[in-house]
Amino acid sequence: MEIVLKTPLFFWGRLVLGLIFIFAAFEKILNPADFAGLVFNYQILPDRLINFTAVFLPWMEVLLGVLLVFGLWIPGAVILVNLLLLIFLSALMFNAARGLDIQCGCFSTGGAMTSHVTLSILRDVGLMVLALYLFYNIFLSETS
Amino acid sequence: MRCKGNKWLAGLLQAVGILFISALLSLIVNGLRPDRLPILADGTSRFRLATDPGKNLMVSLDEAKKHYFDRSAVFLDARSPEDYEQGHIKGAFNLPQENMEEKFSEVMENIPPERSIVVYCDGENCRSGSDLAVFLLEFGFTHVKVLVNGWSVWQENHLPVERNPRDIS
Repeated sequence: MEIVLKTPLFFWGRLVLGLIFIFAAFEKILNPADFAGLVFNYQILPDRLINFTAVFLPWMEVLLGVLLVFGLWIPGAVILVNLLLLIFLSALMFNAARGLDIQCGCFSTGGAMTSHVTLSILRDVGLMVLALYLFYNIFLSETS
Repeated sequence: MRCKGNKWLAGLLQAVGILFISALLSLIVNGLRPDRLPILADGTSRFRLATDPGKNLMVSLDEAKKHYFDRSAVFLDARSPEDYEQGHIKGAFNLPQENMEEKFSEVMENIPPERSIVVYCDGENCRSGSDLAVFLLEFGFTHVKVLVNGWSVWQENHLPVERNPRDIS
């Protein structure tokens, strides 16, 4: 577990990212049917994969969040976090580019929150930077 | 170098493990809850924005705007009469689910089946709009589209609305 006890920045980075992932999954786990609607609205996945994605994705987020917070399986968790954020970012940008005005569904499943796609993209980029920092520290930096 | 290679391998194995555990966890929890989603079934009829494969009922705001200003479509408000009274897209007719039977003929009798229709409700996930659209399609109207979260996006873009001051109490 030598990875866990890296620089303070690394420690806080994984803690913050982990908590954000857990927080993001909370409402989706409570309302899987609503979240399925959001996934559907993205108009990216084939219909048959919508329900599975809506059920699976939040639990993956929770598990990744817990692993990050407790410093377990960090290399694997960081790979998946990066992959996931990349997928989210691509999906957001893809729909922004084709002019589909849909809710992000990133942190909430409610319909009341107005969504601003640019804001969602920027937020995702911010998380991505954090995740890439962790990735760099584990896999690419000299001391790793 | 050897250490680095191990790290990648460990990372990949852990990643696979995490995917596996997440899938297991999610399927177990989904199986236990009373409001479980059918995992393998196509559950999207609940959202009903796509009917036949490849036929997408969603209309973008730009298209809806074009329809609106060209007067090439009828706008139908699927929200409750109370919501409608408080404000709606200017010129839209109210066709709420709750009194569909009495309102249907009143609203739809002068609309030819091939006329373009844009249905909206409020909220990204409101189903009344898409339910109404599917109902109209089944009824024989051929050009029905849904403006997702219509009332909100319409207001956000400062497009023409109509409000009834009497009913705002």
